[in-house]
Amino acid sequence: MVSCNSETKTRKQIEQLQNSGKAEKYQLGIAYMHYISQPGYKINYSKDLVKKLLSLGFFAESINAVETLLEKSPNDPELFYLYSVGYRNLLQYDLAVENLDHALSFQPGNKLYSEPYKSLKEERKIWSEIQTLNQSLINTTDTFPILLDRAEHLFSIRQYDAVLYDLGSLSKMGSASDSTYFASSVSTLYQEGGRKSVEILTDMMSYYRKVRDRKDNIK
Amino acid sequence: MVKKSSFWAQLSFSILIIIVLDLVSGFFIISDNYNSFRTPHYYFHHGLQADQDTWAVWGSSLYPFKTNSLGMVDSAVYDVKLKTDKERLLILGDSHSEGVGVSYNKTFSGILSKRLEKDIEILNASCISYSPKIEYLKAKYLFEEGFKVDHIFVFIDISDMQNELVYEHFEPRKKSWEHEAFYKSKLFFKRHSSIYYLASSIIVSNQTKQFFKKANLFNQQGLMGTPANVIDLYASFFDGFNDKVLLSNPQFHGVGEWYDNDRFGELADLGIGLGQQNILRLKELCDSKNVKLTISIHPWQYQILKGNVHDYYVNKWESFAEANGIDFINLFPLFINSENPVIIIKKYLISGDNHWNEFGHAQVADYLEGYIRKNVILKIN
Repeated sequence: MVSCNSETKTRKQIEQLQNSGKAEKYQLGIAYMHYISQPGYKINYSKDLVKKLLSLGFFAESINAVETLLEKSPNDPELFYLYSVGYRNLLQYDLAVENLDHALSFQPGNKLYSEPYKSLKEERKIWSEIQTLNQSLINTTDTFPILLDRAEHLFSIRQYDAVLYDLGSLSKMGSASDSTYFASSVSTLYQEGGRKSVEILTDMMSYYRKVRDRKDNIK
Repeated sequence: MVKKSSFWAQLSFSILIIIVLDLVSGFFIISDNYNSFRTPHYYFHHGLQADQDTWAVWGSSLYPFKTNSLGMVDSAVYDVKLKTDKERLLILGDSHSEGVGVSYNKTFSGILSKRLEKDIEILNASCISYSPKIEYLKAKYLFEEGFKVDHIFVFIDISDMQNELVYEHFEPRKKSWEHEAFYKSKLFFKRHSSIYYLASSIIVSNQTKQFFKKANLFNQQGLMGTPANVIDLYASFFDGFNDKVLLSNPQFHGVGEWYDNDRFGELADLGIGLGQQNILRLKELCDSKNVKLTISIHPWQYQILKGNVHDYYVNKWESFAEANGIDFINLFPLFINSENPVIIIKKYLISGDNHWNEFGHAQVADYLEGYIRKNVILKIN
């Protein structure tokens, strides 16, 4: 009875927060976690809250929430799917694949799980190639082509901030005009407020590909 | 005579009624505060209350939080024996080592404690905003209580430069039963008395407002998105620090960039110097108790992006450790290596924060497990 009342009370608090329009992201995150941490939580409502945590970008929190929910519902395939989404966003690809595999083992025909599976496995493959490139960086002095290659790999898994970092490193290895190009591109990127980031980064990679080819020709 | 005794009886009765009403209304009024297990301390400035089984909040993260009988973050509430035949290692550090935002079992000390339990007992006396001065005082306090330990690992980072300046004039009060009793009764009233709760809420709220007035950086730098629970803790640790010029300078709060900044370089050296003096005091204390001291250093986000595994701060502490015969661990290479720094931050740190997430803690635990097996356990056996 007590936990039921408390469940209703917490649910109302969440609704009030959501409807107020004034709640900060972290306040919503705490309220969702608070609900899930209560013994009397309702599983379906809790799963909705985990989805909300994911949409707010609280991936580590969503993993903790799923962990709590799994204690009571260890055979719920959707929880393993949500686990997988959280891990994928934290770049923990092995765990993401493992958990999606688990969700699929319960419901092999569920499209919600099978559709992202292919792209997840593809991402894991690219991720493993990035790890190989990281290793190659240790053993070589000519890092330019490897960093460019890594930037392209990171681009394909939508890690745009990381791409920009690698392109920044490349800009320091070339001529003064390469650095100027980088600075002006970054300035455009910020002016656009990230709206055209994919296009601008694509142009930048194409620019540095030409720089790489120029370097290769000189060799 | 009868009149006099009746007066005292009435007064006592009234006081009793007020106390009962206060405590009963406290039950309804005192709201859940996810940081109420944190407490000021007369000897080591602040710490954690003993025997807590609660939830803690850090940013958007709500996580289970337990402390043992000595007020140390732990996996369960239980009585820690002051003396033990088993080899014991004590971790001392700030919020990184306390493991803010992560449940204890997933922090590096929680992982190590489980993995190494056959060979060594690992305890963690870390707490938010600790720095060498407070770590020295905490160790001294524990020793005076009769706590037996064989190894102390102190975890250091750049926030210690600022903390050491803030704590420079903190003087521990004499250890006495009166102080203990006073603090324990304060804690009791904080948790149960509505009058005390309301009064202290007003005081704390005013102190936080005062802090914002002095240090107006949170508005100026657009940091309003920083969770209030984090800002409140940050504000509370400046209580007693009255250098208004420093407090009002936004760069003072960006401690990560101090030693790259001409104006703050001197302040950085002052903070490092104070920290090193206090580590020497701790070393002396450890030597007198036959305890082996190790210091470990780890990077903040800013340092990860800078990408220097041997930056100014590391060099300062490494050469200090070498000169004073203290074992030194550099955790920078775990977070600064051939991997893209932006990816490292995403993988190992809590989003928008300097602290490790569970994967960052696992990374540290993996490294330290090897270190402890080789340098501590192997030597015991």
